[in-house]
Amino acid sequence: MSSRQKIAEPRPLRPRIIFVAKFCVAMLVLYAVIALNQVNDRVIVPFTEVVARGAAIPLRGVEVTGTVMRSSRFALDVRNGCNGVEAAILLASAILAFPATMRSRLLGLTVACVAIEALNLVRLATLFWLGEHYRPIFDFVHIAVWQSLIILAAISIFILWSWKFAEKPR
Amino acid sequence: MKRTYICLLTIIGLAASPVFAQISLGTAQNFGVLGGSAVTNTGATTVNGNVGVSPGSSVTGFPPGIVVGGAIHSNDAVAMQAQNDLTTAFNNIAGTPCTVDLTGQNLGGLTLTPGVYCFTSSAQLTGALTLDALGSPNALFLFKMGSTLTTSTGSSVAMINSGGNSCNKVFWQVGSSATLGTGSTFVGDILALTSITLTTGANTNGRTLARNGAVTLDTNNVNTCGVSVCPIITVNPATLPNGSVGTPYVQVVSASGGTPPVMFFVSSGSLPTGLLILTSTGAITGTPLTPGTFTFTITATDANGCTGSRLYTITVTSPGCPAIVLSPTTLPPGMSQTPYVQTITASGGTAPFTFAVAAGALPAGLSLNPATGLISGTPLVPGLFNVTIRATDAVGCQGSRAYALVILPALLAAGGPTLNFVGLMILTVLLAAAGLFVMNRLSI
Repeated sequence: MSSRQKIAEPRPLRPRIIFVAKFCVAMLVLYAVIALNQVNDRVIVPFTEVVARGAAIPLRGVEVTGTVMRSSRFALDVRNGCNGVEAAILLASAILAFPATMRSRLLGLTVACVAIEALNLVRLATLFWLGEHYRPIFDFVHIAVWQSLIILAAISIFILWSWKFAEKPR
Repeated sequence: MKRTYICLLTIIGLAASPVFAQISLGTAQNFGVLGGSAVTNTGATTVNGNVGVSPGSSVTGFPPGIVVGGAIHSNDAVAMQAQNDLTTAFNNIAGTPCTVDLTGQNLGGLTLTPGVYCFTSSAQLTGALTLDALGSPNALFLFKMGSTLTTSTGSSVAMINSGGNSCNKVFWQVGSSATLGTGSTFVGDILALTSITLTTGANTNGRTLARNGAVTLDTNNVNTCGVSVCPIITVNPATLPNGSVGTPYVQVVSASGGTPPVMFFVSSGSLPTGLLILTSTGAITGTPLTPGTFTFTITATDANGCTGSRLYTITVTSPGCPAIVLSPTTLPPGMSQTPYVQTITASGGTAPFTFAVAAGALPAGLSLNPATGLISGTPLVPGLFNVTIRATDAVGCQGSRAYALVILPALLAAGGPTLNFVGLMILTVLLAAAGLFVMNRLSI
């Protein structure tokens, strides 16, 4: 047997298991936190109201009452789950679990959350506009188009961030 | 053995005896939508022509639905007459002899020439139906069915060789109910004995006229051709001054926008006891006999039968009482299933005031606080609610105001999750996979 032959070094399994485990734990913890009534009432609902107001800014003739956006022709209730928080939590969990420096994680969390929420504002504004003017395609855009875009955006953000800020072994 | 299946799109040209006649709808021709028990709309429906109901009175969903070139007639004289004319037209069509019996034949894929087509029971359209007017301006298609008319999702009716004018050439006399499927395109006036339902996105170039049941709409276009559009007739002034018991009262209402001569009459409610309206001049004269709040509608009818109306409230006070004014003058619209809060205030009398509903009723779910004038609660159903609020001051003098409170339909759409359960699962798996992918590529 030639001594030049190299034996492929197996990739360590442990960091991968740790990543997946941390991802799951972070996800569960964050979901548990927002499920608390006090957090929901004092943070999530007010935040959702802000989201509704933000989404109404580019729209004409839209009034916002609480989480309800309404015009003379259409109304939209921005409920829990419509505020982008769940998607942001998933992305944040992946960033927290991925091996990187704390500074990189904080940067990633900030960029990721802002990006997802900004995209969600655009989503709500376009959905409201479609609801007013093109009701027949509202559900399609709501369910198919925007979900795909949100998933695509989250994955893209995570890959770009992890590729750039991964903490490589010494 | 190789077998070849040849799919044929069968276009059947049924040679019926051409029918060149006219069907008169009477005053019902001015209605895009006419129901017997109710008219209910969801979404951004556009109706060209009047929307009416009689003998029922419920018309809901306008807005968000809009009426173009017409008005809403809720069991008023116009709607009643239209229903009478509809019945006449319905019976006339029913009495027309059939030229072709299409019982059991699906209308999809057929090309028909003018004629009277009959179905003993129900009629079904799946796909496209073509009506060939043969270039005749007087071509007439009558479809008579013993029970239902149903069109499938995305089906269509189109007219060819009509010179671009399909108005008043097609009538569907339906023995029970008609349902146009989602996204259907339809041509012709539907005259149904019971109900008519236009599901989401169904559009029709024709009237939807139901004799006994409801017309249900959901984001549709009802284009009614041949509508003689009435001008907007405005009854003035916007409000009438209050009166006092024993003091002669003279006030004249007028109308603008109609064709003279215009007649005035009280179409709902009643004038204060002791007052009368002169139909030819609109003069309200007399001496109020009893105190109280009187809410009534004065309708002006011009020479062409076009109408306009306005709701008035006159408060007749006891001698010596000041005028008590309620504010605001109008109530902002609310939305069903959404909390509503509005405070009514009173001025002009001796505080404190107490508040009460003098006429009509607040929407179910809303209540009036007698001490503060606060209207609050969560309205349960949409609609237009006429309610008169009365304020009574410390010495018993009263003032009131009539309000038309619009409760918009329940939230038409929930915002919906940014990601539903499936979306969240997909993103979870993809994030984990992406993390592992990057770790592999970077040899972490």
